[in-house]
Amino acid sequence: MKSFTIALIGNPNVGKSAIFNELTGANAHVGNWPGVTVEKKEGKFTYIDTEINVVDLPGIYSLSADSIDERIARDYIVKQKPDLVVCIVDSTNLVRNLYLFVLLKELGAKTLLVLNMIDLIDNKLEIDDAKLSQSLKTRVVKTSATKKIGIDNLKEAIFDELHHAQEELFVDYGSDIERSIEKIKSLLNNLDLPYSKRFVSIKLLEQDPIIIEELKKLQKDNIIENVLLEINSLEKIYTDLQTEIIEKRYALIEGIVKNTTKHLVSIEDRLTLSDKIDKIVTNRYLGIPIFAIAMLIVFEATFKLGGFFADYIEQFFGWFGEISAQYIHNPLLQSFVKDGLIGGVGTVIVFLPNILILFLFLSFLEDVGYMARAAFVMDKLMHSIGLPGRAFIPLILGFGCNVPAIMATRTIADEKDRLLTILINPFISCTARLPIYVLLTGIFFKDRYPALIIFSLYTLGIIVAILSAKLFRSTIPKLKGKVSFLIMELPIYRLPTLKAVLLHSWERTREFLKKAGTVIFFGVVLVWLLSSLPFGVEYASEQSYVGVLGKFFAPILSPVGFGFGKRLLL
Amino acid sequence: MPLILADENIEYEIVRIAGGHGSYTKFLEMGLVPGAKLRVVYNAKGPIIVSMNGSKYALGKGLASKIIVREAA
Repeated sequence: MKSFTIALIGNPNVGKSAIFNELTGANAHVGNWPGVTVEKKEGKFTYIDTEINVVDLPGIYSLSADSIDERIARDYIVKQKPDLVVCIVDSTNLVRNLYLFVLLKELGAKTLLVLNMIDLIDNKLEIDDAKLSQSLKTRVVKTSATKKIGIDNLKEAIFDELHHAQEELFVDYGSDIERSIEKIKSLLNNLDLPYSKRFVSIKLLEQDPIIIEELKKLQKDNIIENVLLEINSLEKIYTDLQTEIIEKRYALIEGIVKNTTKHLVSIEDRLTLSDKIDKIVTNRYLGIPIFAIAMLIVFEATFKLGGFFADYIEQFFGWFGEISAQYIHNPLLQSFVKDGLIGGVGTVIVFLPNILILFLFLSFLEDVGYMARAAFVMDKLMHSIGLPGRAFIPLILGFGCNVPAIMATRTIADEKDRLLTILINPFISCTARLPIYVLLTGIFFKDRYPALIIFSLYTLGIIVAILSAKLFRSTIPKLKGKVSFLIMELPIYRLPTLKAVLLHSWERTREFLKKAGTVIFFGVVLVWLLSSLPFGVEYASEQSYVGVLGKFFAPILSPVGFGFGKRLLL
Repeated sequence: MPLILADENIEYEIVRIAGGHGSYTKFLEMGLVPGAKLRVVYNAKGPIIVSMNGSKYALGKGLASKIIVREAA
């Protein structure tokens, strides 16, 4: 069977994941991009006689390589050379979305343009896709992933385009800049770079750090010097060359969009409902209380519902352990299966409902579009502890499980802010710590105000996180500097499909399970070994290694009333 | 005038971005280029929310004070 690879790319919030799921039937293989903790999703589908591998690239606005996500996307397209790059755009905001598309064309990628969310512009905007296709030198397909419109057309178009050559698209940067581009191009002869010469020349004028770096590696400093001379002479004409280049791209796009679309009603009408909601949830006085209430409900539900399921799971594993023990007669193996394997896995799985439910709520809030508003509302408060508002979402996720929380920090573009958010995340108490809190509370406070005490333990974690943020920001030289909040898109409110929310929360829960399956599992086996060795002793008795360890710590712990068994748990 | 002083619900046009020279390519690439029209949805004097081309953005105070706008004709 023939096999091709295509890449999906697009701005954040354009429904790229939904398209990916529709194409591949959600049978994604999830891994990491090499060297970074950014999730890489791959899947495949078959069309007629051809196997088509689909790689999902991160959601980005441009290819300027100033965030990890942009760098990954650009590197992938340039170095892995997918057979087709499918650019998914939000039909309700063509101008900004097409910017990324034009960059892809400049990069020299073979493209397919997908106008997604086409259902949202019904009776509001008409897009002449034939004309658009002609102007942008690409095939155009209209889809709505959530309404399952146009998916078959998309598959067909992908298949067709794989077998067709495509025209290039040039942005006209005006005679002065074009002259410089030609000059730089002539310097690039005999150079082995994976990009087109025109792309390299334009990016050099934009002072792209990665390309400059690559030239330096090839010891072509003389080219860089020549480029700087060109930039200097151009800046006599344009005060800000980089802005000029970006504006030229936008000028091309705006011209094309004007020629190929017709507004049936003004855009303003579409925004009113979203505006009305925003007036309330982002209000100076109401914003924070609304957010606090929302979070309170989420946590209340998580622990009530989660606790309900957790009890059953605990009982199930207890029962399962007993049952399996009946069938295994070798006492050592029996103990390993019952106490080590089943007991150990059980202690981890007990947290699963809590985590799943918490992520279900948070994914829902995120997919609806509320989380971006929460980040906005929290911005002032977060600023005062030295973090941008955007860092707030990973911190909230940390209450579920710190692993996906740390993975969520990748949307923070500024490296200092991202590092700091990762560093303080472990202070946020994840669900797995609750049982330990319950235990300690029971021991130290003898069931007086348990809820209040546990709540204050959580608060303590938050306070420590805040204090460490301040401490790190002011002491670690690499983290010094200003909070970098510049710009954040607030997606339009929309009701996500149940499938989308479930998938989203499952993807996060899976991170927890992965850790549970590996690190925590080995920890559990280790505890079992320590409890059973030397062979022949009663499980976790005073003669076992654990017992010895327990005795060793006894002088420290007995004054506060820890019994023998409880010492082991710690 | 800087965007931070703009009134809500009036359409403005971006004149220029003060301090340019590549320090703000990120939002230029998101479409906040000179000539673009935007409307202030909410101005909290800290961060502000603007609507542009049918999408909404929250802008930091620092950025909002560097974007120079005038009322659109």
